[in-house]
Parts: sequence; structure tokens; C-alpha cells
Amino acid sequence: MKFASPRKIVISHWLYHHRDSLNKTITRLSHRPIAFLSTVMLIAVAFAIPLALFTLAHAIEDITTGWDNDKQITLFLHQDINLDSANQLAADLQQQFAIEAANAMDKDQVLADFSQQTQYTLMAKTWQDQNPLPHIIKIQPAEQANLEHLAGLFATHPDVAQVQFDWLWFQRLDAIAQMMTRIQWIISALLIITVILIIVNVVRWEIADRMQEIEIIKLIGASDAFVQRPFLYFGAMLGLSGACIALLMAQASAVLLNQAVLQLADLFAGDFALASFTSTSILGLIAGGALIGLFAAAIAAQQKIHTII
Amino acid sequence: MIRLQNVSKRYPDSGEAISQINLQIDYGELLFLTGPSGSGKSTLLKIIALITAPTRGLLYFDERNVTHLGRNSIAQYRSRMGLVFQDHRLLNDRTVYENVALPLRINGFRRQEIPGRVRAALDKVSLLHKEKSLPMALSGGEQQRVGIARAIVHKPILLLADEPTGNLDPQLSGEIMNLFMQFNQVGVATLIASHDINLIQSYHKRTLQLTAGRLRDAAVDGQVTAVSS
Repeated sequence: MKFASPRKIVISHWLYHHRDSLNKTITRLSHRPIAFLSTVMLIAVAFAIPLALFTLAHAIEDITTGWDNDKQITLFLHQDINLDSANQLAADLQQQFAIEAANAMDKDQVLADFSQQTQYTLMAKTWQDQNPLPHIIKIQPAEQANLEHLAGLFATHPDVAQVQFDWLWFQRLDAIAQMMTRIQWIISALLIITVILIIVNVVRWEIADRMQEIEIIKLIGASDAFVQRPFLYFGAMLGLSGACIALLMAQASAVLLNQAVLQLADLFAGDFALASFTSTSILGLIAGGALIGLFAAAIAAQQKIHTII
Repeated sequence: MIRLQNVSKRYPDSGEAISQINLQIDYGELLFLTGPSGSGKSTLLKIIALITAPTRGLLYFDERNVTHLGRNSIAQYRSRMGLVFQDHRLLNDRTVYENVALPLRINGFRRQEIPGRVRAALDKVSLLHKEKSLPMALSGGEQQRVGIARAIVHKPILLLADEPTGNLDPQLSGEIMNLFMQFNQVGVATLIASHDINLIQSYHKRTLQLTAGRLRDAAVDGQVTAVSS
């Protein structure tokens, strides 16, 4: 059975009550800044860890995606093999094996490429008069080729001095990256559950602290929705503030780590850095934090307030 | 307006608080409910306010059965009433003004209307000058008057008062009772539970007597008459 409300509640009243609840929530929080900030920092750390992991996993994914197009086998020929023989061998290999391309490369070009890598520039300069490098053949295997098998066959060829094949290492790194992504999702899920539990508990304590007030308000006709509203704002503000501080923490961590990451990338001839958050992702994260807080507060409020009178 | 039909309430640990109560309260009526401590006065008021549900029997509001309303409907039902408690039940961290404004906020009154209505209610209980005070800074009688202002500020159709003079001296009790009489004169139905039979008899109004959970007698203009089974 429904009772007509004594007053028709129009949207402007509804907005007024929401604004009033929000103002009262902010006022209450401002009276206990240390308690509020310590809870927010706890939430922020729980949010920041998955954010940092996400940033790192994203960077590694970028690297391995780039390497996917670079998988190739390099054959270093014996010093006595001239460029014409190298070209002939490249053509023969392309006909005999499952490879997309085989290109011989002049040893002077190899030295030039070598000298472009910053850490070898000085060494390459000393070799300019007497180049110790051999001609090489760069092989782009076919899509489904068994790279280890191919590398083994090339190694037995009499003109080949050495086979360089790094793809297995890349595959391992790719597997690690994929595992990291999964771990990141699992940790993210666990930490979001942790945030929800933190907010549920904090809101429950807040409700317990204001039990007498809630009883009085309900006795004079307040609905559960009216009573819950300040607690929902409280939860949303905890989540929102936690997400904002977590973003700052993650961004600060990225700035601190970026130099080390750039050095690491240079070692692997990669070109990547820890990505900054876009404005869309920042807004999404802040809204997500607020929604998580709202959701957690709603759980706590539903459990507690319904049991009061 | 309010009708109780064979209403009983049994608490698990203390037995039957009220038994087979039949009662009708009409619009604009004022009646007293009296009886010794533990006779069931507060339980009866709680059932009418739907603070607790009867174990047996039915409660009607304007001939609609409201015994087992949903939570939102209970809030709407209660918002038609004004409740006054012996211990005032004021929010101690809010000013007198904010306490009295609370029912208006709950009932969705326009923001612009609230100050005028609050001040009018405070004026009726002669506490306009205390609107910025906190309840703890007021005397017991003043706190009770704030509680009454809060109960009448949204113009309820029924005022329920549970021992409203319980902690007050005779002079203040008389002042509080006079306030209830004034509100009743403008049409607010009023049910006042009190154990102070001398105070009640001086007002010559319909009086219900609860004894050991049974509504046995009634006095109208001081005369005792039977009203229920």
C-alpha cells in the first residue's frame, strides 16, 4: 500500500536534498580530516598498485608486439666468403627452405648498422680501417616455420660461421608478459575487492557511530533512501579521492621509473617508455573509483540501515 | 482515522505487553492514555507509529490496513504524524533550528518555505530566541518544547506523545500540556500517554486506562466508562 507524500517532491527539491546531503557529508569529513585522509591513502595505495602494474604490463606488451614483426635469423658467414657467394647462398636458401626472404648484406653495411647502436659507436670507429665483420645473410622465416629447426639446418652449412637466433628468448619474454598481464588482472581484482571491503567497513563504522541519529530521523518519517544518502556520498567520496591520489602516485612512480625503463629499452634496441594516462583514462579511473565507493557504501547501508526501526 | 482491531503484542522475553486492544482515534480528537509503568502505553504508541508490529490484530489508517506496510510506506505513514518522546530525542550536534527543520527536509518542503515554518513553530513554543542554540545548552523543559516544535512543524494530522512531561516539574508540565491543547484546537488529533493521572484529569478529555496490557476503562470529562472487551 502506498501513501501519498504530503508534499509533491519535484526535481529541484530532489537536487536540493542531494546537494544538502553532499554538503553535510563534506562538513562531517572536514571535522575529521586525519581519519578521512588515512582511509583515503589506504584506498589510494590499493588502487595505485594495479595502476602501476597496468602501466608496466602495457609497456612490455608494446615491446613484444614490436618484436613480433622482427623475428629473423642472422647467418654470419666465414671471412673468406665474398659478397657474390653470399648473394648466391641467399638465393639458394630461399629456394630450399620455408623462408619468406633471404638477403645478403655487405660487411661494410653491417659495420655501419653496428656503429649506429650508441653503445658500440666508439668500437666501430676503431674498425673503420680494417673491418673485422663478415658478410651476413638476414633470413625472414615463413609465418609458421619452425625457427629452431631452420636455425639448426643453417648451422650445418659449410659457408656459415655462426647462426644468431634470439627468437626463443623473445618467446619467453612474451610468455612472461602474458603471465604478467594475467597476474595484473588477478591482483587488480583482489585489490578492488579489498577497496570495497575497506569502504564497506568504514561506512559500517560511520553508521554505527550515528545509530542514534539515524533512529531519530527514521522515527520522524525519513525513508531508507533519505537516511542512506549521506553514507552513499561518503563512500563515493572515499573512492573518488582514493582514485585521484592513486593516479598521482602511479604517475609519480612512472616519472621516477622512466629513466631506468629507457635504459632497459636501449639495451634491447627497443623504443618504449611508461605511458602517461590519457584524459579519457583519468576520467574513467576517477569515475570508476567513485562508483566502487558508491557500490561499497550501498552494500554497507543496505545491510545496516534496513535493520534500524 | 486510526483504528486498532484486537491488537496484541507479545515480546519474546517479557510476555504479552498489550492484549486484545480495540481503539478508534478520530480526526481532531484529543485523548489521554494512562496507566502504571509497564502497563503497555509505550507499546501501544509504538504500534500506532509502526515502530513495532503487533503480534496479532490489525491497524487501520483511514480504513486501510497498514499493519504490515513496506519500509518506504512506513516512512510515508510516519511523516503524517508528529512524535514527542519523554527523552526528547533531539540531535545534539545540530542547532535547535536544524532539529526543527528536519521533518520539513524529510518531507520535501521547498527550501524557501523552511525558515518561515521553523520560526513559526519555534515561536509557538516560545523558543524563537534559542534557534541557534544546541540542545545541550537548553533546560529539560526547553528541550521538550523543541521536541514538540519538531513534531508539529510539518502540520501532522496525528500527534503521539509518550510521557511528554515525565521529567518536568508540575509548572512546566502544565505549560507543555497547554501547548498540546493549543495544537489540538487547530485540528491536530493528539494521543498523549502519561502516568500522571492528576495532570490528565485537570483537562477533562477522553482518557483510556491501560492496566496489565488491557484497555479496560475510559474517562470522558473525568467520568470512567467501559470502552473495550
